[in-house]
Amino acid sequence: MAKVRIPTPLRKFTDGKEEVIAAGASVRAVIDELERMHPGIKTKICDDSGAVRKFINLFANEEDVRFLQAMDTPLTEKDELSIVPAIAGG
Amino acid sequence: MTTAAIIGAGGLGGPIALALAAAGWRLRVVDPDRVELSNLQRQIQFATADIGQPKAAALAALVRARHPGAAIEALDARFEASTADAITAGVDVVLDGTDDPETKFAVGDHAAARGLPCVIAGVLRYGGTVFAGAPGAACYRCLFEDPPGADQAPSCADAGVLGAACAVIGGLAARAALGLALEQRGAGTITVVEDLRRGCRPRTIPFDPRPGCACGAARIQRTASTR
Repeated sequence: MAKVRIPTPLRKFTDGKEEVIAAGASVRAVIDELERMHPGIKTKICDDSGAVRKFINLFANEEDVRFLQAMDTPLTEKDELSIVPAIAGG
Repeated sequence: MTTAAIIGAGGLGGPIALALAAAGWRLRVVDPDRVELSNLQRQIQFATADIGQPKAAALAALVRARHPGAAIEALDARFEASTADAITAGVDVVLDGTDDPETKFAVGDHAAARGLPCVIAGVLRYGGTVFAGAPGAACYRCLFEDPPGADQAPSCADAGVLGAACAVIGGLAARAALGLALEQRGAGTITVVEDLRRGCRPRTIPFDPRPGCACGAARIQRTASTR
């Protein structure tokens, strides 16, 4: 389980919520649970192969998960997963 | 005197230019667009009398009106491969405040290739992000490998933006440029403001260079760490 920070472009899937608690012992499991709770959100985060899209980064407690165990990075209820996309507006 | 190129004279370029001009920087402001009525809610540097005027020139005129001694140049141009070198000639820092993901990546790539410190800012609805990079640290593509597609990254015109969010994110972008240029700090970070409705709580997250990135920063850092 982890607290997931939802970025602005994805809040249309979470009823406007900026934080969501999702069950799961890894980044992959938390993203899957996020999809179960908020259908459609996973395809915005991951591509068809399940990899994180290249204009999005995931941070577990402010550590880039690519330098941890990527989608297999373990998470607990004390952890926070941030979804950070490239923001286009200006 | 520190010189900056500011790419985009809109919602972010306005507060960036005003902050850096007040700090005494020499500025080159670049934008190919004209002021439109729909811009005025968030691009508060413009007035109704500016509608139809080139954004870069209108912003430069405002800066000069506030700071008669300001050194500011306006270019009615688009940042692209054919103009990038001329736009960044002689600058110490390049900042992007455009609303176009392709331009943001082009600015990041050019800065990494030319060894220029850079700041890339984005704003949407109630929040935004500010990337800061410099030679030897992670670049924009170390963080985001490719730009989002047109249907994957809503623009301010599509999704809307709180006018005050532009001031906050633009101010953070100016602060990042000052940190890079004057204190050589802050490179390889992204600052995130989630939602101003719940308070202004910027979080600055450092990240490492990505192995395999064309900027080569990961290889340079690895080599240095083994010496």
